[in-house]
Amino acid sequence: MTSRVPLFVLLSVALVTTEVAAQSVSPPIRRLEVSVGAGFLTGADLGQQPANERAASGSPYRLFDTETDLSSSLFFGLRLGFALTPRLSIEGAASLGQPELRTSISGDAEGAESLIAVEQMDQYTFDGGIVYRFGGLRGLVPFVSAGAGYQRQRHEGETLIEGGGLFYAGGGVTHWLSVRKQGTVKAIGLRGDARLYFLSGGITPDDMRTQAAFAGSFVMVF
Amino acid sequence: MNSKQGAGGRGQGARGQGRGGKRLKALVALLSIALAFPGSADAYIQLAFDVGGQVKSIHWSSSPRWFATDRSVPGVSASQFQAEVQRAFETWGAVPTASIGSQFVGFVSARPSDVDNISVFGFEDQTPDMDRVLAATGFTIDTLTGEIVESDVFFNTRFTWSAAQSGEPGRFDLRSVATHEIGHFFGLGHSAIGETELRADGSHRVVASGSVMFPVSMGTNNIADRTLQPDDIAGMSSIYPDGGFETRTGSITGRVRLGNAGVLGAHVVAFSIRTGTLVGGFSTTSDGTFTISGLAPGPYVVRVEPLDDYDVDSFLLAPGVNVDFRATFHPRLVVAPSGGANPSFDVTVQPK
Repeated sequence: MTSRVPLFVLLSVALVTTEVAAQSVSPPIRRLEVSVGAGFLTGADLGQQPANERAASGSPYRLFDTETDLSSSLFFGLRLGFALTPRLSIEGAASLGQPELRTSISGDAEGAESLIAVEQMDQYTFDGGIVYRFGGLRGLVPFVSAGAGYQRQRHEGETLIEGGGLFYAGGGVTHWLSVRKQGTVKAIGLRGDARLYFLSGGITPDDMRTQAAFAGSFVMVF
Repeated sequence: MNSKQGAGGRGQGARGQGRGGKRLKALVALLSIALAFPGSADAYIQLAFDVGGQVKSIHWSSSPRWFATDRSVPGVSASQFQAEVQRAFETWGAVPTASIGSQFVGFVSARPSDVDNISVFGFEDQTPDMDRVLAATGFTIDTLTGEIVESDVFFNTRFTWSAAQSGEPGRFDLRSVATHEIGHFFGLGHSAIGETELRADGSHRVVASGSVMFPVSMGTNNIADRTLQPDDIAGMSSIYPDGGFETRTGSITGRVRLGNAGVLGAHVVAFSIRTGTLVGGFSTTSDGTFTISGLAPGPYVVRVEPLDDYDVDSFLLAPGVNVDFRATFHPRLVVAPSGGANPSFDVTVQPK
């Protein structure tokens, strides 16, 4: 299944390209850039939280222990960009993933069996930022990016929606497969992104958490 | 129609056994004639009456006025007694999500056990069969509305008491016990968040508790129960909500099942993986339904355990309370919404 994706992309390129410009390394500016793709978001350790009662001695009495993490997850996204100059673009993106919130419970004082309690969430991310492209070679254009956004997490059963802010910084490379001067589609390419997210709020209302994302997308410039 | 009722008291370590226990049970049994189980009991257990199939939670309709007896005991003068009870009232009054007030009126010579339409706190001599009851709260209630007309609290002179700032060896801290009784005074029942262990003489002592409303005292020279815990705050806030409590907190509701049958009397605890708070409740119907209210929105671990079989009557009085199952965790995190309840779910437990 995975091997068919690049074949499909290559086939699409062949069908829509009438003027291949293999040496061009930047698409036309002041055009709308649309990307669709998928990626992988790493998990996050959300820490330990003991279930303590108040002992007669004044010290905590451990009823059981918990340790919670947010699982890694796949996500799907859509990105809209606009090249202000050959080097600089602005862009906004939305993505959806379904990570699990997992709490490992152990050490119960009355012998309750240890287990991992799980909840699946819908996680929507909306962000916007800038992209700076470096000079490319043979259709490969490296770039760095940074921005800010908002993450919305809908808990299982649609009982609660929580949100929080995020910042990100990252980089990647765009491989322009085709750039042409005529037609609706001005350029086609593949883009790879690596980002580091710094998130606050949502499932971690009081703490900052860090997650990395790796994504690939199919890019069209109109 | 008013009727004099008794409510839970706070016991010494060995409470619930022997003659003292019987007497207390009798008091609770009076209450339980109509108490039964509220349709959706909150955490902790809110005292309530079942009148003709309608559940009436007991509560004050306006800020209660209370009197103190003019009686002193060794170590505690009447004025010290009043001051400590006043501080205990202030502890509850400081709960930001509850709207409760109270007013001290003055000293009286009436006894707390008198039915006289005034609420009296005071020391009182008790018969030997109360030798394991530190203090107890009684009510006169309008059974049509659930409104409390009178509530009296006695502190048993069979024990030695302290009003010292940091407690005293060999003496029970008056303010700690008063804080517990005032929880009853406002309509709270007992919480089961706590652990006890068996002594050689067959009595039990507290190992730890997660609520001032746990029915067994921490013992002498211990002032820990001057400070409310999340379970206490959730309970009082559910009865007298204020500060957006009802819209900013949510409930978890579900059923405890053993095979195909509901489990009555299971102790259910919601644990916040964010804040570490424990708030408890009970399955209060034969189909195992429970509701835990007053929870900050977010995901919770749900733990179910049987009540300690030696002390079931401290929490629930009904035939058929099941204590023959193992403590267990629900395999899903359960999310308390903001201002509502989660979709009901079943927690399956296994027999011992």
